[in-house]
Amino acid sequence: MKTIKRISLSVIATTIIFSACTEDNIEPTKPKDNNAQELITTLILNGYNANNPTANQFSVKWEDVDGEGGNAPTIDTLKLDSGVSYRVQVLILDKTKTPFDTISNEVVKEANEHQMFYTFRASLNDKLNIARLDTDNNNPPLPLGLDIIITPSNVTPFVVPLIGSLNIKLSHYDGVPKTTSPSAESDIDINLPVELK
Amino acid sequence: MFQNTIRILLLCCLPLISANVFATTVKSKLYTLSVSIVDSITKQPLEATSISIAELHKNTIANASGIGVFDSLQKGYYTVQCAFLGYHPQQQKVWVDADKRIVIELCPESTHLHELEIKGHTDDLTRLNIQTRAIIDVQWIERNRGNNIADMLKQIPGVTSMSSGVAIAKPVIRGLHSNRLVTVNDGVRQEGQKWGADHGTEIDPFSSNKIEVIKGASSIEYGAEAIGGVVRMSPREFKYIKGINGELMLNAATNNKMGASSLLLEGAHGSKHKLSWRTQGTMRKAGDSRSPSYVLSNTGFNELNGNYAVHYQFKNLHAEFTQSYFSTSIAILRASHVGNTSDLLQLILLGNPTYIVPFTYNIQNPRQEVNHKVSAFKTYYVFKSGAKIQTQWSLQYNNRKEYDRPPRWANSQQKNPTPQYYLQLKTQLGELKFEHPKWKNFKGAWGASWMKQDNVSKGIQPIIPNFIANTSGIYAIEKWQKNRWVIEGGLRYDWRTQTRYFLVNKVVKSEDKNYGSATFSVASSYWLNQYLKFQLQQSSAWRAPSINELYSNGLHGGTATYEIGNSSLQPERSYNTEFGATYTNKKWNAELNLYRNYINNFIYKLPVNTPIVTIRGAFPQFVFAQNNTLLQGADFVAHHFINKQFTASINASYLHAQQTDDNTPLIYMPANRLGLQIQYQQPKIWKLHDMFIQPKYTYVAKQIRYPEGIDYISPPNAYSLIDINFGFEQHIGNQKLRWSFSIYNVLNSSYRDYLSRYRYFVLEPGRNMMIRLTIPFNLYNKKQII
Repeated sequence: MKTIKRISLSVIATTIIFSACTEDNIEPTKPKDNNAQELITTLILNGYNANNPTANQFSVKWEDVDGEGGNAPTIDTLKLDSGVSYRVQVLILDKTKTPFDTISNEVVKEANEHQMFYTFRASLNDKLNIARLDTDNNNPPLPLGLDIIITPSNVTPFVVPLIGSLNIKLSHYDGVPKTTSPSAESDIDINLPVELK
Repeated sequence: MFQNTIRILLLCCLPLISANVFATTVKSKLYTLSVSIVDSITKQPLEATSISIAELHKNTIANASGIGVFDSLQKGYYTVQCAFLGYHPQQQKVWVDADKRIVIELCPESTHLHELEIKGHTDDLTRLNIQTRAIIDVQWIERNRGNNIADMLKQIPGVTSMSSGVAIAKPVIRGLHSNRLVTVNDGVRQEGQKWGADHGTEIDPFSSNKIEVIKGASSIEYGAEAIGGVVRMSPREFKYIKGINGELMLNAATNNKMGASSLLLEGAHGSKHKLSWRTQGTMRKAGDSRSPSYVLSNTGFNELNGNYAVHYQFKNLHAEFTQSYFSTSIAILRASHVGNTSDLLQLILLGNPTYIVPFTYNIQNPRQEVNHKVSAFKTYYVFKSGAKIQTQWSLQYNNRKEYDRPPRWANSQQKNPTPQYYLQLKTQLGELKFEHPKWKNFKGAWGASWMKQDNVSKGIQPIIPNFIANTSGIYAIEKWQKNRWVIEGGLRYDWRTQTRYFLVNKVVKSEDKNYGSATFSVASSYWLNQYLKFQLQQSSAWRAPSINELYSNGLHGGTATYEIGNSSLQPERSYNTEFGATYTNKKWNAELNLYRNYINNFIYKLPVNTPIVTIRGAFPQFVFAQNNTLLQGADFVAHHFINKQFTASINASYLHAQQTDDNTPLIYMPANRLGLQIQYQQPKIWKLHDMFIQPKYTYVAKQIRYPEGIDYISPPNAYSLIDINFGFEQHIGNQKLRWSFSIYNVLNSSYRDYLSRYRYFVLEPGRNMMIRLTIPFNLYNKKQII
């Protein structure tokens, strides 16, 4: 009989433990705003003439302030002239934060896990060359790609501007070794229209 | 000795137990119980059957009229067990408070089917019984424990599973799943975020002793929604005999190095006021699974569950209180969370995952953290007339947190403590049921139910909105039985109000949706002769659009798709016609079911031509839309009892699903399949009892019926699998040990399954060996009954 009582007592104790797990109040009538999340809203290419920093300046933007879905992104066209080499700094921002969160600084900090890739498409793929100037801390170093030079292969302007696009990809290497090829995880994968005169 | 009472209750054909109780008032305190044993098919008495009362260790042998008598019994509950060579052992609980005579029908082994019920089971007259249903019994469950619940159901023709790795799987009945099925655990309708294809069943797989699958739309008792069917899981029955028993279940597997254990304790005391209780704790831990070629990195899980139940009986009043807790952490295959469509296509082209690390038990992002709590209070009262009134109240909390793949800039998970999705669902259920006593040839039940759900969405991305939903329903079920005919009918009406709460410029707005409709079912069965039975059923059910179909708006990492809800969806309505034939004799048992399920306003995902452009890339868009759909098919199962040792079985299922408006095949329908199995069993060989060996072959065809140009890749190729089960019982003194061993995918075949959400990225797991040990034990048992 004692054993039964003992075991019954332990069952009751379990009951109390279970019942102690009470829930937060669940109040559907009070929805909350989205939590702050790590978003990338904006990518800006700030360029200038590589031989004359005050000449041929441009700032081209790909921006989707309300994040995925919702309103469509606003996309500028990158206009380039033949015969000019462009030094371009890439800025990545999260504009949902105040002040803006500069994601590109984080990318620099974690350069060994990130890499930018640039691919010109359509008629431009052999007309424009891109070199990435910055590198990470790997040995030997691998490119990072937030500081680049775009060089048209033509010196003389085209009568009819060439139209194409630039694919910009930020690859994230998480748990996989960084190589010279893109990873299967793209943090950024966008296309900018390009016009080459 | 309790091990005897849990000895495999083999569920056989036909009404197995038809207890015939003649009670006479006897003033003395000792009573006589006479047990009459007959063959369940021929109804002939079975001489020399061994009959025992488990609690008293009393044995007797049936005389030439098939009757065995126990006298000088004290008042109490007894377990009567019968065994006869060539027949399935049978047991029955009897309450003796007077001299009694009971009839037990034994089912010839040649007609036994583990998985196949049993039409017109007499134990529950208040449910529609003429339905295509299948039961998985305790023996089968015990021999397959350690797998998830959906995998255990796959042996039933017409039932498959939709999986996201080993840890997440949900049943698919004749092509329908998720919101179109209702799962009932221990009498309580399980309510979680079941709309999600990667949201598994939140129930302890060790807690069920019986799983029943009802195919087709016919859930009068459990309400609307069950357009595809019902999965009913029942725990072990309460113990009524004084004492404390237990069972320890241990489990280990090689593929994902899983270890699992479950401890169950149960007891009872009191004689006039009976108190029974049961408690169980389960732990499961697994690491990464392994395909034949590589580790499936980040696919482990960690599960901790507990439950207890208390049952109190005072005269004709029974009251029961149960609480259960389920919690799991599940790692989601790292390679399956892709950045965008071009990443996904790149992975598909590559054919192998890019993220492979050595085996680990660690659970990293992406991952799910889910817990589910249920409290239930049930009562029933039996009147002298035989009428019964039953009440039930339950409260459930489902908490689901899903964490996305590792945060973009951080290595440490601490930098992203906010889950991507955090959904909390609270469900309160109330039920009232009245069973009227037999009147002329009618039996039946009337009932009402009420359900209130409160859902809160937190986390980074609120994939579904906050809502409150109220559902109430009333129903009646009547059954008419005469001679060879049984006719059943049920009618139900449900009302549902769903209010969504959302913010517009920081101001809370709400929107109501109201639905109401009827569910009905009519069925009849006819015995042509003692071997052959036909049945025909016509039923219609409905389902209100679920919250995600109405309002979801967001990206799904695992499939790189953007899903958009459609708030103008109308309820679905199904019209299901079903024909069944069952043939049973000493050598054969076969069952064929043909069905035609027409669903009006079937809700599905319609691809939109323009992709959605985000900074992470482009994603295909899907909008929820409606179409008329016809699901037609056949399920077949047959067993041939070659001799006492050997049984050969075959099962097959065929499904043809078509969207009739545009005449295209319905996407993601399970492929046709065929299963072959041989079972060898030996009651005693050397020192091993109840030995069995069961090789099994499964063929899954390639799904050739799918709409072109929607999925990224066409369905995977056909595959074959070979599994072997082997087991026995070992007796060491009074202690019994039940062992079972399984080798799944013996040939270590590389394959992908169409209903696996990982099929784009990885192969299914390779060979897996599993070992199980069940140790029943006895802590305290008083032989005399007070």
